[in-house]
Amino acid sequence: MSGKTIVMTSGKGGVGKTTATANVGVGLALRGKRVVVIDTDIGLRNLDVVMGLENRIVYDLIDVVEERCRVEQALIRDKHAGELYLIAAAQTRDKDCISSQQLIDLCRQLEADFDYVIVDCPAGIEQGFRNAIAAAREALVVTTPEVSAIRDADRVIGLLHASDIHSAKLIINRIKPEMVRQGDMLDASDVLDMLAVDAIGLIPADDRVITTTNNGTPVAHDVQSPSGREFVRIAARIDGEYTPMIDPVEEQSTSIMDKVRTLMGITRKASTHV
Amino acid sequence: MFRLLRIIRGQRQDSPRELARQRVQSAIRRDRMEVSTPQLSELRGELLSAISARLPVASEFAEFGLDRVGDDLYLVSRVRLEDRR
Repeated sequence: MSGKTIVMTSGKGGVGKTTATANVGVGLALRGKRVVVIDTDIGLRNLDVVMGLENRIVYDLIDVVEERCRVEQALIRDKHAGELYLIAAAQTRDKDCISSQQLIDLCRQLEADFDYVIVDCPAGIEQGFRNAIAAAREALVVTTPEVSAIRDADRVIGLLHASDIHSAKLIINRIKPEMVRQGDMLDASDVLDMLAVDAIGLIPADDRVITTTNNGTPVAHDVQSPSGREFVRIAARIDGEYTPMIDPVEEQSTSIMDKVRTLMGITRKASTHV
Repeated sequence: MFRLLRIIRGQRQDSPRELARQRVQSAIRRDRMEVSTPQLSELRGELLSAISARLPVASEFAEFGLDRVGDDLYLVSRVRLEDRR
């Protein structure tokens, strides 16, 4: 097996990077892929709680690179999503405990056993960021349609280019269709024009992300959730399947019109998005 | 409500979306420069000086900025020439 290492990064914190990492991992595992997600946010780990695996950590990333355990011992298998595994970050150490080369070596080793190695990068552009991107061949940049998040995403895209990662794709998270329609929020095309990269996913703001995270079950498991469905589509796009991009603003307009038609008793030909 | 009143009074104001777009574009352009303000000012002076040697430049109307198209970064300048007719 020769897997692919993808880094999930954003620059700015709080844009949903860790949530996106968990859900992309779930989406790929639901497609039958062998996936490992690695939390590189040493000292501030969170991927474990988002995935509901916080009580099962015995060994962490630093234990692996400092050879206190074998890689297999640090892999925590997800409860719900087939061949999905987590390597947790150490919580009581700092970001200087690991070097870029150690992470590169680990990812190359994991690529031999997994289809996808997804690296959850810490916020910021310091050593933790440099370590995380060093190991990756591709990058997904997570942003929200907000001034500060877009600006930081642009900076990160520039740094990825400088590190020879030219294939960065954008996930625009927490799009609020109502605000976009009212002219109160940037829309996806505004963000893509400014950052000059392609999108791989447009995620609508969705309260179910909060409730599912509270449960420790990523929203990609919830087929009723608009954001969950889009994470599953993102996984399909990563995996090379052609899946049309759906703008949440247009999707919501369509579903509102569908409800009106239903109320008026007007039937409409079924349409498929994927 | 206030927005409606402004529209009725004929007052035009950029929407929050448009304002955000302008502000991000401005911030991004500045970030992409990765040069200090004194360096930029020096570059601007040198470029205007070089162009002035050949063309009648209205130096107060010169704009300089960076723009990214795909993977490539461009220095874009817009220099107004004096009309000597």
